[in-house]
Amino acid sequence: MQALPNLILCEECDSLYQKPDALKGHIVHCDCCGAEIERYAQKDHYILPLTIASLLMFVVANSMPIAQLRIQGLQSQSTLIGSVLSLTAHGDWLFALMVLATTFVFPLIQLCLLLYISVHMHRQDNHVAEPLPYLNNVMRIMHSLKPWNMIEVFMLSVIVAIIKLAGSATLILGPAVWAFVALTILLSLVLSFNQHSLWHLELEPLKPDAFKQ
Amino acid sequence: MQYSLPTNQPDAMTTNNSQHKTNISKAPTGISMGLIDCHICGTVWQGAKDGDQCGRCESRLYQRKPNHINRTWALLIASFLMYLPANLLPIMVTKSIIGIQNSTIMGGVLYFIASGEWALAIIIFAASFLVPLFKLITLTFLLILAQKRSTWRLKERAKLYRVIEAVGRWSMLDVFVVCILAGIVQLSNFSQVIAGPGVLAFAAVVILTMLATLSFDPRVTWDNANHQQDGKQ
Repeated sequence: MQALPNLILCEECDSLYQKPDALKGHIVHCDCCGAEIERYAQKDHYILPLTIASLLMFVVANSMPIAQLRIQGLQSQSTLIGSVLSLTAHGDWLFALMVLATTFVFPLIQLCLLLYISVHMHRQDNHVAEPLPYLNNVMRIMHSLKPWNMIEVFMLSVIVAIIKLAGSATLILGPAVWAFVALTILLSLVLSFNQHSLWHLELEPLKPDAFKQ
Repeated sequence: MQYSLPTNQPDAMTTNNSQHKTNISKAPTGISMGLIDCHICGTVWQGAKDGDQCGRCESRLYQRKPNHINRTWALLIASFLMYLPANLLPIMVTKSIIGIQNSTIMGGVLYFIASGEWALAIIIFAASFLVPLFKLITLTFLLILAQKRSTWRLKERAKLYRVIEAVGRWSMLDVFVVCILAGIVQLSNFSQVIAGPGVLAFAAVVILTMLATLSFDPRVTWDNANHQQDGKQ
């Protein structure tokens, strides 16, 4: 078994190509099926500040109430976690768990791993070259979590829910609404870079000897 | 060891702004050259077998996703079964002083049409009704064509697959709306929103179709094309 580092296969149609020269900001598409083969990050050094900003917004979005409802002296408000808890109060455990996973747990894990990677990349920019421990596991978790982070869908749901309530009661928007909007934008920026490109950053440089088994 | 592989030249690849060539090129494929790429780190391996570990990132290597046809069918049938209860059972129950009100997916759409919020009605109709239905039909269609080794409109089929891969998650919209409303509207006896039994079925449809899309291997579509082209020569 031997690695062929200058070749690349299309993930969607299995076409074989020679790895193109890295052009920053370029997206390379497969000639055969049109799928994206490679994406070269334009701005690697923005990943760390974007990740930190995302984490801050994540904290705000989850600690502040989404909205407060007031009808005739009665009032109620809720955060994301509060909503999940009120589901469990009525026995909808499976539903609550699913919402918690896709809007809280998975994005949080992704952000923490991203922080771990980007701190290392930042150190590497400052010429501290050393392999990143657990890079394999980190990359595998990032890959499998990618489809299941639904923050952006949740943000749209918040807007729909607000419009639904606005007609019938006094509704005061909480800071979490804006935090969710900001978080969606930040996350889409920070997660849009190619996961494969992390391997190009030579966190663990390709050594020909390492591939002979 | 020396390896010389007939690969496409880099200029044959297109960057994002240029047009794709319409004819299907007879590019060498990984399977025909005996190469497997790692789906996590993208490294191309020669002489690797199914189930071997990638030497770089230690994930399992597979020429094609294991058992993809059976898995996709199983998940698809499961989501078809959940589709009816998802649309017929109430997803949200509103208890208020007026009484108990059940609302289904289409009830939510009709509510927004009645209150004149056309844009929202269209968003919810698309996300909750059209997208799941479109996904189920499209995936069934792609799967049957892949099984029949059809070479009909390969490029369009590849595009369809990418579309259903991208839009699937947006069906969770209504599920989250129910969750948010159940959190905010808790005014004891005056008005209270509780999740209905339909919401779990609906979420199951979304998650099962997402899993089905992930377990389908679009490379199989192209394998048939390459196979038939080889046969003609």
